[in-house]
Amino acid sequence: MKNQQQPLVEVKGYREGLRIILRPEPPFEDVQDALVHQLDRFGDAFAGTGILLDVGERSLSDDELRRLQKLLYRRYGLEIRRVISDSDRTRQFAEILKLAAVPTLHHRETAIEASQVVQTEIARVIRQTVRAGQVERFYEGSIMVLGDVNPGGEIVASGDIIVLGTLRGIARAGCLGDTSAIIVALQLVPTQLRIGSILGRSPSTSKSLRDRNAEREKNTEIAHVVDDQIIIEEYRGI
Amino acid sequence: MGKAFVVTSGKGGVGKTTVTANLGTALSVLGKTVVVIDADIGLRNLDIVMGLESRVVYTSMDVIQGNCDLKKALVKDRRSENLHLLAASQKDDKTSIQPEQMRKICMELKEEYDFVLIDSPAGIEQGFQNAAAGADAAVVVTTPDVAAVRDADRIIGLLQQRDLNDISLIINRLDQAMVKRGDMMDQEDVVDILSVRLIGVIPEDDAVVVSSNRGLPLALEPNAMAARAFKRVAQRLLGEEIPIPEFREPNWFTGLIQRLLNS
Repeated sequence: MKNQQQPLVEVKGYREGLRIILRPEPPFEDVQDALVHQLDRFGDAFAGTGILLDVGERSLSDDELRRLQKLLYRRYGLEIRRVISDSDRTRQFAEILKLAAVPTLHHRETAIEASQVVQTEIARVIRQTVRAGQVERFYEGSIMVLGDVNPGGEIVASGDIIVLGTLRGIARAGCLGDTSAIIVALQLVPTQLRIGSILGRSPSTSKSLRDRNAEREKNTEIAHVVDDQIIIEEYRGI
Repeated sequence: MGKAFVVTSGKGGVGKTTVTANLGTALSVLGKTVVVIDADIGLRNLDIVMGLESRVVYTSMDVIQGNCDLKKALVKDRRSENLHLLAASQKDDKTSIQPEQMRKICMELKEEYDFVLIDSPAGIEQGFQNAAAGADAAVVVTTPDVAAVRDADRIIGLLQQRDLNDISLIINRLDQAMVKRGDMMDQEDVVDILSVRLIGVIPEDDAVVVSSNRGLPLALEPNAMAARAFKRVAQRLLGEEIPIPEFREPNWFTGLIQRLLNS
């Protein structure tokens, strides 16, 4: 029960990527297992993302730190950008591994400043069409696209995804596990949708080109999760 | 000062080289001075399609290495006075040239010619980067199929990343009969996805293949359907407002005229 109130590991979005918080008390092996358990759920969704590793009061040996770095990089393609630690030793080890390291106090100060400025929900606005091969990520809130998302393009957001255009590519809303996230598009004809860890695919039976023309006439639609399934329906306000 | 266009597509085999040769020819017929550059180093084709293979002595590689000056490397077209070709080296590869060197060649050519058309290799790697380096604008060529449009979309994204925002689109090899049956994307489908300015739709035409094999760009033959389409593309590039015709099945009257013209 105690574990549920205080998870060993927390993964949160922050401006430049993900923040991984390790609880200081439990043994390292347990924390590492919990981390693997958490990150496995996300699959390769975050490959290439920067990591803020927040170990708080925990003192990591240089071996432990090295193991975490290897695990994150080799298994998930995640790169540690900065270590937050209150232990002088851990920070020294981090610097030997060429990782920037700061104490919690220092980091918190900047965090509070940021939160004082931004009181409302944060969203990233993309003012162009997202084309094949482009991936736009935002782990601190929603993404709004003023344009289309073409086949082969991808949007990943921890919050909602709103496309003022045609969504033909891939959209992953609530990518940190929030299944209450929604995806809205003027025309919703995606290759793949994901909300939280729930996957929805477009019917893979190949449609004739005529059917696709009919899709142009569709109204604004919303995708959301009902009973662990992604449901798409006409958007009539929330 | 002229303007340099990179002709590119992402996917191979959609007709970049054919478009470059014919567009260059059509522009020169309209009285413009044109240089076409083959940027597909190691796999040169443009000289063959233009029927100039036997006249190539120096290549862009020779210019870069200082074996000859730029003027001397240009090959004059067989039929058109104001059309020239800068051929690609066959024995080097894409990595033997730097974007900066391409830029310099383009700058120099723009001083004297109205149009510089750069025939890009397929792909998005260094060959494409070199081809795009000296360009002021881009002509993206696609065929109306899903894979080609996908790659064209990728290329447009990469061009925009380089701040190359003057992008025009040519849809090549459109088969009107297939579109009519619903078996091929029509021009509206393609423009819907790519959302850039359409400057031409070239119909599927056997005459293009024949002319490429003979090394005589079709654009000089006034009766071929595709030739007229290329002429209109050239006119649009020169700023003329010509509506893009929807190709229709010929009715008995236009069909008759067509047959009379072709006979």
